[in-house]
Parts: sequence; C-alpha cells; structure tokens
Amino acid sequence: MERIIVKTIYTYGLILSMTSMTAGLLLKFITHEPSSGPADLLHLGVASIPDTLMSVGIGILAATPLVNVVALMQHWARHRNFRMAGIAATVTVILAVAAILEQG
Amino acid sequence: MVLLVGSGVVAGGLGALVGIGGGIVVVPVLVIGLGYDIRTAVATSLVAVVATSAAAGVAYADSGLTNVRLGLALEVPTTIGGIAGGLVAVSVAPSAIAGLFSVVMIVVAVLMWRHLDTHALLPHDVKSQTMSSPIGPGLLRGTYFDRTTSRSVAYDPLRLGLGASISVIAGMLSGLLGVGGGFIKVPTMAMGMGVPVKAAAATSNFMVGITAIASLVIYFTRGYVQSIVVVPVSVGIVLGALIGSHATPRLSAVRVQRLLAMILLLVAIQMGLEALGGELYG
Repeated sequence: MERIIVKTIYTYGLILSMTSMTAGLLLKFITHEPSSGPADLLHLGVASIPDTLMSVGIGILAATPLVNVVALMQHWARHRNFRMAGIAATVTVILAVAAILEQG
Repeated sequence: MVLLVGSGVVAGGLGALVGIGGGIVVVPVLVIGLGYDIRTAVATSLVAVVATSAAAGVAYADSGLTNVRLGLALEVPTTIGGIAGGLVAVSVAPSAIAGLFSVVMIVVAVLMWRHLDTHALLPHDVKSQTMSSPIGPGLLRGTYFDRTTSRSVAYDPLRLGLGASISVIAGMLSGLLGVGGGFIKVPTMAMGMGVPVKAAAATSNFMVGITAIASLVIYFTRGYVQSIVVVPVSVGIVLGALIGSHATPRLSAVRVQRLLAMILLLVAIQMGLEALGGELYG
C-alpha cells in the first residue's frame, strides 16, 4: 500500500507540474514576454498568465514530496502504526517550521 | 531559453546514463556556462532534483526497491541538515560555495573514474539480519523481488545511528550545493547499514526529493527561484532522463562515466580557480 501511495502521488504531481510548467514556458516563448522575476506563489493574481502557470508548476512539483509524507503519515496513523506516523509527522513539522520561520 | 532546456536535457540524460542526479551537472553549466549567480543555480538544481526524484520514484515504486520507512526515518536528520545547509548557503560568500562545489565535483569525478558508483558496489549479502534499532525490531524491514536473481530479498537495516549522522552531512551538502547527495547516502546505506545496493539507490532517490524541498523553502523566500531558469531546466531534465534511460542499454556505461568524470574534473578545476579569484560569483 505504501508503494501505491508513493507512486500515485509522484505520477500525478509530475504530470500536473510538468503540464503547467510546459504550458507557461510555451506561452512565454510564443508571446515573447520579457524575463520575469523570482517565482512567487503568494501573489499569483498580479503575474501574467505564463508566469502564473510556471509558478504554479514549480509549486506543485515542490509540494509533491511533502504530500507524499503527509499521505504516508495518514496511512500509518489509520493502521495504528504510530511509530512510523510519528516519524512522518516529525519530518512534516520540521519542513513546516522551516517554512513558517522563513516567511516570518 | 533553448540553452536552458538543452542544459537540462544534457544533465538529465547524463544522470540517467551514469546513475547520478542532475545537480552536479546543472550547477556548473548555469554558473560557468551561462553566467548565473551560484545561488540561483543551486535553487534551480534543487527543483530539478525534486523532478528527477519524482520521475525515478515512479519506476522504483513499481520495482518495490524503495524502502519508504527507512527513507523517512533517515529524513529526520537529513531534513535538518538540508535546512542548515540552505541557511549557510544564503549567508556565506558565493565563492565559498563555488569552492566547496568544486571539491565535491572532484570527489564525484574520482569515484566515477574508479567506477565506484552506486551500481558498482559489491552485491550485498541479502540474508535477513537482526536490526539494532532504537525504533523497534522489524519496523524498517525492506523486501523486494530481485529480477536478476529471481528471488525475494528481505533485509533489516543496521546501524541507524551511523546512517543518521551521515544523513545530516548529506542534507547539508544538498542545501549548500543543490546536489542530491546520493553519492554519500548510497554507499553509507549499502556498506554501513547492510541495505542491498539497489534498495539503497532507490531509497536515496526517494529521500533526495524531500531533502531538496527543505532547503528550497529558504531559496524560495529569498527570491533565488527564478521561474524563467527553473522551468526550462526542470522540463529539460525530465526529458533528458527519459531519453537517457532509453539509451542506457545501447551505450557503454563505463565509457560515458569516464568521459563525464573527465569533464567534471576539468569544470571543477575551472570552478575552483574562479572561486579563488572570487570574480564570477557576485
């Protein structure tokens, strides 16, 4: 079951992110839009469509491993394997704390 | 843009051919070849590492080689190392990162030349072993079916303390340099922890994606993740990995590996000299 969870999330994460990034890249190439700044997932509304698509693609790709960890944590907790659920929760908390501290 | 996609294809293709992540190729190409800031290059490489980890992870999941439980257990120290590495990278002089990167490149080149990569380690004795783990006996046990020997393999990882210590270092290198760190993790798991080498490679691949996002958070919030650089390289690296994995049976892995080792060595020397001069990476 763990293998199925990992494979499913990797597959969908990769397909969605690559589709979004490729579409954004092609649009940028076709419209000859000038180079943009850093990827920004917090202010997508003000970015152009190609930039939004590329940022969303990067966001989905970056989120894929984290979604895997959270899904595994849920799976182990449901099957009362609290040691493994605890390990997955620890990794999630470390990543979340790093993100919150950086945003702050 | 075409150059960026092309560099991704080359990195992904070579990575698939010789069994390394693309980071060790992407960073020098972006810094020396295309003149990008080394932190932008490292951030780009980290996104590419996530992409290659996910792409290879699909194939590894089918084979059953990935020991998800062991990978996550080692991810606790690795993630902490990754965050520490990312914080150090955005604080020190870019020339220091370039200097350290050139040293790591030389190490990888030497290992590659001597064919001591993940595929060349001696096959591990696959009999079941007793685990001395504080987590619990059997909890991290791995099982898979080895198609080459047509038999099931079961193993219990040993010396988790050693694995955890080395994982912190691998995480730090990943956060600092944008490399996956498989060249450290795979030998540690295979030779130090008693994990069969194929399972060690697959488990390392599972881990590098999670480690990469730990330090990526730091690069992301500080504006080093440039869409226009990251996207072409990531798309290219996935394309390259697909091409490389199909070309692998037709090419001599040793020849490709030795050619790449020579290129890495030359680039490492150039990167090291420029780091000493401190001119390029401002």
